Amino acid sequence: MALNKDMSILVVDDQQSMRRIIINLLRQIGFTNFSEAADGENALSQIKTKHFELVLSDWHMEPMTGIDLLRTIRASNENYKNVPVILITAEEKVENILAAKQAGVNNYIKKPFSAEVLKGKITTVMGDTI
Amino acid sequence: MTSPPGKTYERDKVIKIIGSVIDKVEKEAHYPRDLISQELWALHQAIEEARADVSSIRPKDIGGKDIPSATDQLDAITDSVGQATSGIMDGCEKISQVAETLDDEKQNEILMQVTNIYEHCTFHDLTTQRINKIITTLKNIETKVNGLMEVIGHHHEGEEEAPVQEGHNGDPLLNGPQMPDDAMSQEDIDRLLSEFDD
Repeated sequence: MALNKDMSILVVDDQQSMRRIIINLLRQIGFTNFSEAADGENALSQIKTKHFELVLSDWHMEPMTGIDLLRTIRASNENYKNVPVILITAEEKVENILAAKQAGVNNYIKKPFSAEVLKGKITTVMGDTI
Repeated sequence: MTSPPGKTYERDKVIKIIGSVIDKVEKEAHYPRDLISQELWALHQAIEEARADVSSIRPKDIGGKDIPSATDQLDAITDSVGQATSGIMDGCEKISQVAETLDDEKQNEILMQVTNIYEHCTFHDLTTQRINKIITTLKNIETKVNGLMEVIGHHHEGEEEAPVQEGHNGDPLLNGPQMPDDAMSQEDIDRLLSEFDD
């Protein structure tokens, strides 16, 4: 299924360089519409005011972690409740992955990752939601 | 804790003496006081030797200098890795812009290689996370060393500074890159060298 390359994507990571890497990889894949946030709280405030079609979030952030952001999104009764969320993280223990799944993550990308993996996961998730 | 070479671990000796004294006091009500005194004196000696051993490993340096210095160096690594990553990405973004002016075949080849560089730049994030874990571990060790010193009643007063080490053939020890605040700039080095010029 062809991806909508104009869809709005929110990239959340506390490392500025990591946000830059992800956005550049998204650009190389062909996406054009990005926003960025440095932590879960900032991401949440953006999600409340703007419609995003996909959230790519790191896990390990302060004060609000990626999984806290995910839980808050899924626990809300707002129209963003079901926004697709992919966690991009170095957390690779089984219990982390299970916790993310339980919290309602749509997919999980382990760092380091390639543009191909990123594109594949986005295709899977957006395919699931279209 | 590792015993110094040629010495047995004092803890076993202390436990043995305490056990012996307790045994004698409990089982032999009229055990001569001077013999108990001798054993307690041996206990005192063993504790003093243990304290001397602890002093010889310079616990003040571990908690007060070595670990803070190591964590500062690790912080400096994350900073310099971050700056290097940022510089690499600046270059990649400019290369991508230039590639757009080329024909499709060359543009695709260049963008493929730039993507490859971006993918590898994720090392920065992983390196930072691993270093932060090491810093946390070092700080835990520092807390435990300081706690251990409190337990055994070790005080830093009077502890001598570690002697300045020398390198090969009496040359100054090679210390590698310094922290930014302590480091000499190239201008500082040029200025210093110029003082030796005619």
